Amino acid sequence: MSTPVLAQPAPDTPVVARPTVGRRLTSFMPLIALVVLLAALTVVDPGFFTLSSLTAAVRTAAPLVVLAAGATVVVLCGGIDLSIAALCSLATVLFALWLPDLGAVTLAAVVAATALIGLLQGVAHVLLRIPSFIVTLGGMSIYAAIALVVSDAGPIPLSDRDATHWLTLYLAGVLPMAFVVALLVVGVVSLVLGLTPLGSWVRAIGYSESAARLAGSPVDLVKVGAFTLSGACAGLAAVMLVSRNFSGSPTMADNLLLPAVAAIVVGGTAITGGHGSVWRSLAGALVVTLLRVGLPIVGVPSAYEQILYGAIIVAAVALTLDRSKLLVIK
Amino acid sequence: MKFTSRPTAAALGVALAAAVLTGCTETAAGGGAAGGGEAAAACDPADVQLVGQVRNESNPYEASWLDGGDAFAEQVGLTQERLTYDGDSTRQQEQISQLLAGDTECLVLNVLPNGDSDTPPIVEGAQAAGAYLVTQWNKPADLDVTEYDHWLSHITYDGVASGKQIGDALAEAIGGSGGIVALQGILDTGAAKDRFAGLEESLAANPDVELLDDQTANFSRAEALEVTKTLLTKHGDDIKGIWAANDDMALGALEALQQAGRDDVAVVGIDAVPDALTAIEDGTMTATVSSDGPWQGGIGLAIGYCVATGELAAEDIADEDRAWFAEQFLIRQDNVADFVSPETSAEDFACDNLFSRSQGAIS
Repeated sequence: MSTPVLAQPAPDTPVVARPTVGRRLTSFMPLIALVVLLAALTVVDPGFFTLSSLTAAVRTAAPLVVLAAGATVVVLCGGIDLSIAALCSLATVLFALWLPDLGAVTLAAVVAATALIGLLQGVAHVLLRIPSFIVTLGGMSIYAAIALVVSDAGPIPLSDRDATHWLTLYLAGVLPMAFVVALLVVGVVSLVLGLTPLGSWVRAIGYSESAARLAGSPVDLVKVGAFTLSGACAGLAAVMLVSRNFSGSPTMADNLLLPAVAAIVVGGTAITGGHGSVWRSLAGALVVTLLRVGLPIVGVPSAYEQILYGAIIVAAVALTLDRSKLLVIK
Repeated sequence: MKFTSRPTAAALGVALAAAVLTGCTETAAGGGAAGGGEAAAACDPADVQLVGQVRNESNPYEASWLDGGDAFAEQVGLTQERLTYDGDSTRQQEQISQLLAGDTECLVLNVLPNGDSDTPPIVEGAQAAGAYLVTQWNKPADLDVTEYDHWLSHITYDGVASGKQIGDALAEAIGGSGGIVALQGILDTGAAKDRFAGLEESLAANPDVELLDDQTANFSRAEALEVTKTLLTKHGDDIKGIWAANDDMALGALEALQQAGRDDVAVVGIDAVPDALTAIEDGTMTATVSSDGPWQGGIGLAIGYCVATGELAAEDIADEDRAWFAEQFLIRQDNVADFVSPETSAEDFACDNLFSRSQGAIS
C-alpha cells in the first residue's frame, strides 16, 4: 500500500521581499549614474559644477522630464509612444495660435487638446488592435503635418509673453519654475501609480497583458489612460518650450523624441514594459540633458561628442537595468 | 512601489519646502551675471572667451566659418570654442543657456541662429547675462538690434541680390530659355525666403525661363540628392537648369544628375564651399555666390572682442552698423581661381576696420 504522494508545498515562512544591498544599489543606479556623470563633467571642466550652471541644466531638462514621464507610463504598459515629440511641436503652435483668443485658459486648453489626441491614439490602439508602435508612428506623421499646415510652416511669435512668464521664474532663486512643475508631474504620477491599484495594473499589463486580462484588470482602460497622460504631458512640455523660446514652431520639439526614449531607458525602465518607474525617467532625463548640453560645453569636439553620447547611453542602460526583472529581451 | 514613492515624496517635500521658504525671483541666484545696463568694464584681452556656434561641421561652409574664427582667435592669442548643434533649434537654445550660466563677463558669442525664431531667446539670454553677442543670417525683421546693448551687431547678406545673381547666371547658361527647378532652403529662414524672392525677380526679368517646380531640401546635400532624383523623374528632359539656395544642395543635385547620366543641366548655388568651387573650376557647375565664410567666423568674434576689451565702445557703433548687409561675390569659371583658398586677413578684423564690408543697413 502506498499513499499517494502529493507534492506538498513546504510551509515555508512567508518570504519577506527584503531587498539585498545589491538590489537596493540597482534600484538607485539611475541616481548613481547621474552623480558619476556630473562628477566626470566637473573633472573635465571645474567651471561646470556651479549653482548657476546646474540651474541652467535643470531648466533645460524640464520639458524632457515631462515628456519622458508621460511616455514612461506607456512604456510600463509594454507599449511605446513615438508621437510625443511631434504632438509637443503641434502643441507649441496651438499655444501660440490660441493665446490671443483664449488668454489665461490657453494652457489648460492645449493640455486638454493633446490629452484628447492621446486618448484617441489609445482608443485606436485598443479597439482596432493596432500595435502602439504603428498607431503612434502614424500619429507622429499626422501631427507634424497638421503643425506645418496650421502654422504656415513657420514659427509663430508669442503675442503675450506674460502668459508664460511664470514658467521662467525661479523658486527660491535657484529652482527654475519649469523644473518645479516637472517635479510635480513626476511626483503626482508616481503617487497616483503608487497609491492606487493603477500602478499594479500598469505593471501587470507590461509583464504579461494576457495574464492581466485573465486576472480581471481593466487592461484597455488603463492603456487608454496611459496614452491620454502621455498626450497631456506632451502638451505641458510644449508650454515649457514656448516659455523659453517666446514662439511656437512646427518642428520645435521634433528632436526630443529620441532623447525622451533615451531618458526612459537610461532610467532603467525596461523598454519591454513592466519593470521601471517614473522617477527613474526623471533621473534618466537629467543624465541625457547633462550629456546633450554638458559634453559640448566642457569642450568635447562635436565629432567625438556623438560617439561619447552613444557610448554613455549604452553604458548607462547597462548600469541601470535590473536584469533580474527581465526574462525576455527584444 | 516602495521605491517609487519614497524618493518622490522626498522630491516633493524639498519642492514644497522651497516654495514655503521664499517667493519667486526673476533670475537665478549664484550667477556672476552682469546686469545688462551696467557699464562694461574692459576685459583683459587674455580673459576674453570666444565662442563660435554653427549648425554642423559637416557643412563645409560652416566648417570654414569656424576655421575663420580660429584664425581670428590665433591672431589675438586666444582659442575659439567651436560649438555645433546639428541644425536642432532646441539644442542650440540649450547650449546657449548653459554657456550663459557660466562666467559671462568677457564672453563673446558669434552665433548662427538656426532660424529666425531662434534669435530672440538667444538675444535676451545674452543681454540678461551680459555676454557680447553677434548674430548672423537669421533674425526676425521686427527685432531691433539697437534696443539691446549687448547684442552688438547682426550681419546678413542681401539674399534677394544673391538669389537674383545666380538666377541670372543660370538663365544665361541655359541660353535664356527653358525649364528650371529650384531647391529651397529651410523655409523658416530669412535666407531661404529672400534667395527665392531673388530667383522670382530673375524669372520676371527672364520671361522665357520657366520654373517647373520648387521643393525644399533644407539646405542639405543628402536631401537635395533625393529631391533632385524625384524631380528628374518627374520632369525629365524639360529640366535645363537647377537653382539651389545653397551650394550643399547644388552639390547634391550634381550628384543626382551624375547618377542619372545627365550632363546638360546647369547648376547654381550660394556659399562658395570648396567642392562647389572645384565643380565650377572643372565646368560641371555654373556659378555660386561667396559670403566669405572664414571672414564671417572671424568678424563676429572680432566685433565682440573689440568691445569686450574696450577698444571699441558699444555705443560708438553707428546704428547702421548694428544690422547690416555684408559684401558678397559672384563666382564663375572666369574668376573662381581667386576664391579657391580663401584666407582671412588680419586687417579685416582690426577694431577700426570692422564694418568696412558693409553694403548698407538692413532696411
